[in-house]
Amino acid sequence: MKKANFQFNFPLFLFLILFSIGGSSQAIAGGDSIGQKIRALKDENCLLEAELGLASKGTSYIILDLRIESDSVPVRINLKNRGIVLREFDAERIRYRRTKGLIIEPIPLIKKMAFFPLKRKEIRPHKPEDGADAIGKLDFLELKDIPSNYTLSFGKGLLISITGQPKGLISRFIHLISSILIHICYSLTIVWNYLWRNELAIIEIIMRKEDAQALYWSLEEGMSIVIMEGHPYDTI
Amino acid sequence: MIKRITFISFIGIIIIPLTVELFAYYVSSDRPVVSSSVGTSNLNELIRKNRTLKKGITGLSPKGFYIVIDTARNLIFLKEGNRTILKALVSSGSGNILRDPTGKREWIFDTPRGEFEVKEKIAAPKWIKPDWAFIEEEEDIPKNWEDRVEEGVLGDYALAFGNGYFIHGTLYKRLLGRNVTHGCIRVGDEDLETIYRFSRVGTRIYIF
Repeated sequence: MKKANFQFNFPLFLFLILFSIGGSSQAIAGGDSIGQKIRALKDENCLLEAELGLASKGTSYIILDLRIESDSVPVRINLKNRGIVLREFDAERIRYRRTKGLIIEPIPLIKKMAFFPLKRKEIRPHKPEDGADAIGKLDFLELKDIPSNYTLSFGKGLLISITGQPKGLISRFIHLISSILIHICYSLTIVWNYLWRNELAIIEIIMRKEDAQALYWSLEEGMSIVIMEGHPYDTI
Repeated sequence: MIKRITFISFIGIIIIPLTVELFAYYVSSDRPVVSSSVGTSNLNELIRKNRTLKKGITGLSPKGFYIVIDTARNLIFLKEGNRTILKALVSSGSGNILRDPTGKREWIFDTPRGEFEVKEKIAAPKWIKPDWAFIEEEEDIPKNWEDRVEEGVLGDYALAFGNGYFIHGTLYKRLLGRNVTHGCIRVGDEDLETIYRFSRVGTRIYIF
């Protein structure tokens, strides 16, 4: 009987080891990317399902996608109706924190809360005057009367804080101080709700003052929002 | 004593908020994301479903021309798909309140929001003045219908979109871009003509 001759070939051994490691890591990476794709598609389908339900009602709704697509594209708050974008509001910065993840489903707006809420003006009946004078005396609500710092309280423990970026130097300084205080208050709220095991998600959004005012004007209580989560505590 | 106050202030201003912030950071970043309720995990099936859902949403969007009115910026858009055919300044509801002197009735002059459609197209419209128009001008409410009719104030055309609301012309062109109306949408003459020409009964109107 002939004896088999096994000779140890070190270069071949090294090649096989490296190949197997490379192959397996590639396989794992491939599995991960498919897993991620499935997860992303599941989430997107959920978002689309929620949107389809809202779009079929014919009422306006908001879609907030917190996933970062690219650095050049800001996160946008999309006001939509029947699937068409009525207006896009660009967010300059977003901070998102929660005690539990949000389910991708429509959440109704319960209340708009502001320190200086919108006050309607009352018309005092008067005899008509000549055109030019009458126009000069007109008193009506304008965008400048609308609050730019406010909180939107949604169902399922969702709070969205909107802050309009002021323009002047002093206003910016006051804004900075108040933002820090509000931020600490929200941090305390998060901790408190975590300890009491309550569901809470807080999204802090900073945007242009005019956009913040226009958003307040456009939102109505009862309107629904669908949020696609990004990573919590992201500052975008 | 001063050192103690400084120390307490330091703790109060820096340490406590930082601790809270760090704790909030910890509890926020550690929670698992609640994923969708979709049970299937077959990629092809998910892609198919994705396409169907997108198609479903696209199918709900208006066909042909439609009108979008932004009451915050006082702008009107005439659109077809994603294409904007016309963008113009308008005047929309003032948001003011008028009370009947008897105290029985109250009007809020908001432009209604949501989805509407053109119910009627009217050339050379006449304004049938409602009760509030008389109350606002301290006039007696007429008993005869004819006394309510006023010509020329609504411009050349009007598009009715329900509940007495119209997209119409205006005599006060310098007020375009401001919230001054009783809920109707006032448009400049040329823009109104274009909108009137492109619209049909049933054309969708989206107001926000």
